Amino acid sequence: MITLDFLVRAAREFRRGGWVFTGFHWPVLAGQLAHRLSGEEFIQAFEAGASTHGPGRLVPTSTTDYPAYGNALGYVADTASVLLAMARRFDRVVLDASNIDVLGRVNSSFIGERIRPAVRLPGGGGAPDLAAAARELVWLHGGADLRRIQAKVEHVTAAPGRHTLVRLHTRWGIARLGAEPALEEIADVGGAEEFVAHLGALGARTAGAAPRAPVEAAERAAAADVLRAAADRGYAVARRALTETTG
Amino acid sequence: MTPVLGLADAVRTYVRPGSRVYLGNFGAQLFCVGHEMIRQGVRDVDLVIASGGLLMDQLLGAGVLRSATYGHCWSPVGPAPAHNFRRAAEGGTAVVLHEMSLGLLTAALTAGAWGVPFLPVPDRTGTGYVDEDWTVGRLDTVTCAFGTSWVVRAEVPDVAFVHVDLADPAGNGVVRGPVGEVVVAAQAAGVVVLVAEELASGGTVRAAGITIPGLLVSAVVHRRGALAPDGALGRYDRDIAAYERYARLAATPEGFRSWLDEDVLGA
Repeated sequence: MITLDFLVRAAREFRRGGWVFTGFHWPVLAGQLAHRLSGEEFIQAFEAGASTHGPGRLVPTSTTDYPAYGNALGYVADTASVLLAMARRFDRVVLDASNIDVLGRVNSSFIGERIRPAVRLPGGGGAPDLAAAARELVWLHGGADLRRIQAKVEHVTAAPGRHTLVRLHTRWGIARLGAEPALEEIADVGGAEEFVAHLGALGARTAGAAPRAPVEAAERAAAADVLRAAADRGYAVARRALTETTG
Repeated sequence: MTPVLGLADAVRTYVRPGSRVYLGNFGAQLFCVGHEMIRQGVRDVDLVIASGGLLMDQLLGAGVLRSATYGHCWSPVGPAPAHNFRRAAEGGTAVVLHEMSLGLLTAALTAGAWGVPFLPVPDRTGTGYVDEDWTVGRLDTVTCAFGTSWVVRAEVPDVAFVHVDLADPAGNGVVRGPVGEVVVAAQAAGVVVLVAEELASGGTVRAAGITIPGLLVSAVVHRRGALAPDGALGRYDRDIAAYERYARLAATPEGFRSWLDEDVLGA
């Protein structure tokens, strides 16, 4: 249930409406869920140079799975148009973050030294271009390991711009990141106290956080539907989430 | 008339040891071209590819590459690691990895397309691309009367293989869906080879809308299923089971070798 609620809350970033750049992984699933729920009209943009209007035929396995969402394509252009020319105009940029710091910077490149790293991560793709240009940047961190949320990432793949508003969604709550990091919302779930303590230790203001807005049963049911469809489309996180028995 | 070549002939004609090869498309990977390069035993290729994906992983594992210029490298299904890429980086490799953001890579190809040595790009100071030179020498700063800017070095492939849905006898091609960086890659490259799902008349191609004009194109390869196991918009879906199988096998060098023998060399 904790993953369902995380996904529901992430989907609300899309349901606020407007043009929403959609990164790979969790943002794709959050967008898919938003299409199944009521809200303001939103258009998704993708880094190969496209917008989609609607959920598409299938849950895309990735943001470049055009056969899956091709029937929903609208604006069809190129990478430069989206990453370099339009990124600063999107209402929101929603990206996945596996290792992130309180300044809102992400490491998706190396764990350990750059030469012969302990773990070679995939690299940044378009995230460096988008994060730097975004007006409002939403990072989705779906993991359950607090150590992935750090004071300072050891390598910086993507960093927000000077004027970018940065927020981080986690399973335990939502935080504002940047020069003055602060907890915004806290969930009533296992691990939340540790999350608050962890953020506090990283220098974030944790007092005054709002309780989490409730998740409706219909939202949760729709999220479960999305995860089931995603599991069929190869998403490892969806397969794991469907085996969760406690939240 | 633009010549229509078989896949093997096209690779034999245009890819040599030391060639700088762009492989399209972003989100529609030309696995058939990469596999033919492996079968022909080509070595020392400098690969240019936007989203490296499993295609770059396979070329790395098969020993085809001397360098790679790319945005990222992993399996989009799962997602799962690109195991050869990980092994190469974690164990040390002689392959030079020029890692770019996709914006930087597109700008580099645009500079190549325009015939200028570099192009101004947004400042990426504060990231490893600048601070740790992940691009390996592709970024610099220029000061002139108009100000100071970061610039990216032009990328000029010797040959660009571009996937198109349709191609006509004059070499005009139609890309369905977003084009990523394929148009500037085709404009930058010395030679362009279209790999077409279908050959069509000029009228049909013009009605669909020409994406790559025949002016740029040296040869066309007709290959249905050119992207498999990736998907082609309006034609066939990404083969999830094939991606998962590859990720499972390539997790070990031995598994990768068995995949290579069975799926590429024995094909």
